[in-house]
This record gives sequence, structure tokens and C-alpha cells, in this order.
Amino acid sequence: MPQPYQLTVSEAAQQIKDKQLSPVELAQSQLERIDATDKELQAWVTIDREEVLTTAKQMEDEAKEGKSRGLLHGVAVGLKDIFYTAGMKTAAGSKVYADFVPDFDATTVRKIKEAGGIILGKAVTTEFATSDPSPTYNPWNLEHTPGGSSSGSSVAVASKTVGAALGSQTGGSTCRPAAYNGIVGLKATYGRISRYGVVPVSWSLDHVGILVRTVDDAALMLQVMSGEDENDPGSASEPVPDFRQQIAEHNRPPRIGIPSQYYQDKSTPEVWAHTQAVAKQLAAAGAEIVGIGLPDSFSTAHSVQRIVMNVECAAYHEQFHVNQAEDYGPRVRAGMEMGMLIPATKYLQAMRLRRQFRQDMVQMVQQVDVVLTPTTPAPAPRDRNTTGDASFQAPWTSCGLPTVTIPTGLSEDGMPLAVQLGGLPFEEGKLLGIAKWCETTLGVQFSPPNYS
Amino acid sequence: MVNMKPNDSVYDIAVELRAQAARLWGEQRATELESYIQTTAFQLWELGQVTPHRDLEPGFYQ
Repeated sequence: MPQPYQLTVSEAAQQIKDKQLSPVELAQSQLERIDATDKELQAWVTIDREEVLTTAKQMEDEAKEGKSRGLLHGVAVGLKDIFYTAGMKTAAGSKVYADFVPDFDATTVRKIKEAGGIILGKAVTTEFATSDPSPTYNPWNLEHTPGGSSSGSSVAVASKTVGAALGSQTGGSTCRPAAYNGIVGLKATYGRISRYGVVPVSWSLDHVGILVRTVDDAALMLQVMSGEDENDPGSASEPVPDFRQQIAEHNRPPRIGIPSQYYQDKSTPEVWAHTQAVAKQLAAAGAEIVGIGLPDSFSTAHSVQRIVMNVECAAYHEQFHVNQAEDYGPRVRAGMEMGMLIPATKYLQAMRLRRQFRQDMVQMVQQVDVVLTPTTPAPAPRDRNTTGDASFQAPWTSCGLPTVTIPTGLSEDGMPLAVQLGGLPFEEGKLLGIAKWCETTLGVQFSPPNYS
Repeated sequence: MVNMKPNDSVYDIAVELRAQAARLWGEQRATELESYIQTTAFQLWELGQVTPHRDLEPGFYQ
């Protein structure tokens, strides 16, 4: 019989609905799990235990009466500490925002609560969701980076202190730490999930990310949070389908495109060999594997992403930088200062190339059902002074296409390996259906040995 | 204001960025930023190697 904290989000929600599990029991189990693990892992920054248990009791009473607020009724969710929470500190891992207490909830937080979810607490983020490493530890090996910037959210899910946590991705900040910690990460299409009430890095690049342990849970969280939001100028008016129904429709052998150029060149031999082995296993189960070429515009995609990110980050932080430059970490400060040096013409040229890049990437993905690449060039580096390499994820962020990363095995030194699947805009249902087929076919189920 | 032409080399761009950094934040800070300036100069140079189609408008919220 698994402990409540070991349940996935879907399992916990179903058991609460079936009156087999009490939301209070679940929350208490997760809080005890945090007590047992977080001194070492440092994934959480703010937890209001009283509020968690009070809300859980309320959900329990409603469940007993047969009431359900929605898909997450009674299930706790973690938030990267850049999501606004009314009355709860949102420090963004920074001295500059150390005392910031928002007076409203982010749209995503509001939707989670409306679906019956309980906010378990705030997870550690790197400073302003950029690249100065956080104090969080990787549960697979404490000497390796947990990645970033959604380091706390990823580690919280991997160490089973919570079933789902929100992250964000401006370069690779959801899918990379998900891969480094052996969990599932989803970055939906730009505009699918509202960014309103999320401390920005770069308005036109920021995506809300989902960190979970199964593809089904990614779909559930996406269902809860998707939809147009008039408060987010980047929000899309695309209708929100039933993602779980679409998963069922697409849970079958797909046509998979694998671009070898760039990804093979930049991967370690171990990672590329592993990716080929994964493709072989999927082919044996019926998938059609084809080689595809990356568009010419891919070659400048990473530079374009960095230029846009630095300029928009500089614009957001300009006023704080005047008086509090010394309060920033070295990398976030240097990044915004580079943004302040870049001429407006270059920013706009980058935005023009980015639009072309998106069109080219759509054409590439249209040749297949999904594109498969390694999520990262190497497993989590044995270096806590880095958050890892964003070069495999950032192009997908720049063009706004949806990606999901799933764990696929372990490296020779016991660190998680993963593949990233990319799909067409607003076709997350198809993407997740194929991801679920891959997840089932590969059958990889693991936990960090010391936190299983 | 940074003065940059489309066909500038990485070196030319880095010199411009460094001079502007020194004007804004002083010589010491410009020196501290040297590795970031080199990276940014390369990114800007790479951007300059591509000529967008004349009818291509920027994409903001895609």
C-alpha cells in the first residue's frame, strides 16, 4: 500500500473522489515528507502549514458530502516562487523582491484553486528565474546540479513531496530540470497558459511550465490551467479541447522525426547513443522513425533567444537596477546589463528572425507527428555552480511550439536521461498522446534511490 | 548610444559594447563584464549574418 505522498496527481484525485483518501491525510503525508527530505534537498522556500491543513479540511468536508470543485479537488500543488499568491510572499529568489507580498493570485493559481487544488507552498527558484544557481540539491546525486531555473519545483516532484508543481520556461527552465531530475516536464504552446501574475524574465518568451511524474498528470494540469486570459496580452484565443480525450486518440505508434544535425554534434556520445537506442525501441513497437533536417534559421535561434531575453529582462529591471544593482546575483545582473547595451534595431531584427524561425519550425514539424531530440546534451553536470545547458530547449521556447520531456533511462553514473518531443502549436493533446505512448512503450519508472 | 553597423566584426561589436558599458557603469564594471560582452558581441554578429526578408515583420506575441 503506497503512502499518500507517493501517489500521482491523477491517482490522488481519483482516490479522493472515490472517498478512499482524505485530503487532510494526503496533505499531512506530504508535509511530513517535506520535513523528512527538505533539510537536505532545499526545494521549498515558503510553506503555510496551517493554511494547507485548513484548506484540506474544507476540501475533505466537501468531498464527504459528495461535492467536487473540479479536477484537483483536495490535491496539493507546488508553485515556483515567481507565481503571485495573494497574501503569501513571492520573493523570486531575490533580495530585490525579498519582502514582496502580492495582493492577488496569478491566473494559474486562481484556476488551480477553482479546480479544488490546495497550494502546498512555494518552491525554490533561481534568482528571477535566470541562471544564478539556487541552493537546491539534486536528489539523484547531491553533487550534481538540479538544473534551473525551476529547480525547487523539479526536485519537489522528483523527491515526491508533491505530485505537481508549476515552473516556468524562458530558455529551458522547465524541461531541463525535469530531465535532470527524472520527471515529466511540459511547456505548452506560447499563449496556451496565462502568464498573468508571474514575475517575468522576458514577456515574449516566458511560458508557464508543468512538472509532474506522468504524462497523464501533465494533461490534467494543462486542462486546469489552459485558456484565454484578457490580463495576459500574449494569451491565445484558441479553444481548449479535452486533452485527456485527445491523449486517448493519439496514444498509438507515431511517425517520429529525429534531426541529427546539431543535436548529434552537441550531445555527448553517451546521450546520443541512448537517444538512438530509445528510437530503436520505439520503432520496434511500431513507430516510424525518419530523419529530418532542421531549418536554416535554427542556426541563429539560440542567439536570437538570448538577445530577446536580455533586452526584455533589462526593460523589466531597469528601475531596480538604478538603485539596487548590487542586490542582484552576478549572472542575472550581467544578463540585464547586456540587454541595456543592445540597440533597439538589433532587438527588432531578432524579433523578425524569430517570426521566420517559428514559421520554419512549424513547416519542419508538419512533416511528422512529433520531433524527438535528447532533452539535454548531457545528464546533469557534476557542478553545482551551473544550472546546465539550455541549448536544446531554448530554440523550442523561442518559437513557442509545445514540448514535453519524459525520462528514458539512466546514464553510466546513475543520472537520469530524457528525450524531448516537440509538436505543432496548440496540438498539445496529440503531443501528450504520443508522449504517453512513448512512456508506456519505454516503461521507464524510477525514483532517486535515496528518495524512492 | 551604441554605434553598430550590420557588417561589423565580432571584435568591432565588442569594442562598441565595452565602450558603452564603461560610459554607463565605469571602467571596472566594463572589465568585469568582459566575458559577457564577448558572448553578446558574437550573438549580435551572428544576427547580422542573416538578412530578414523585407516584408517580414517582427513577431511579438506569437
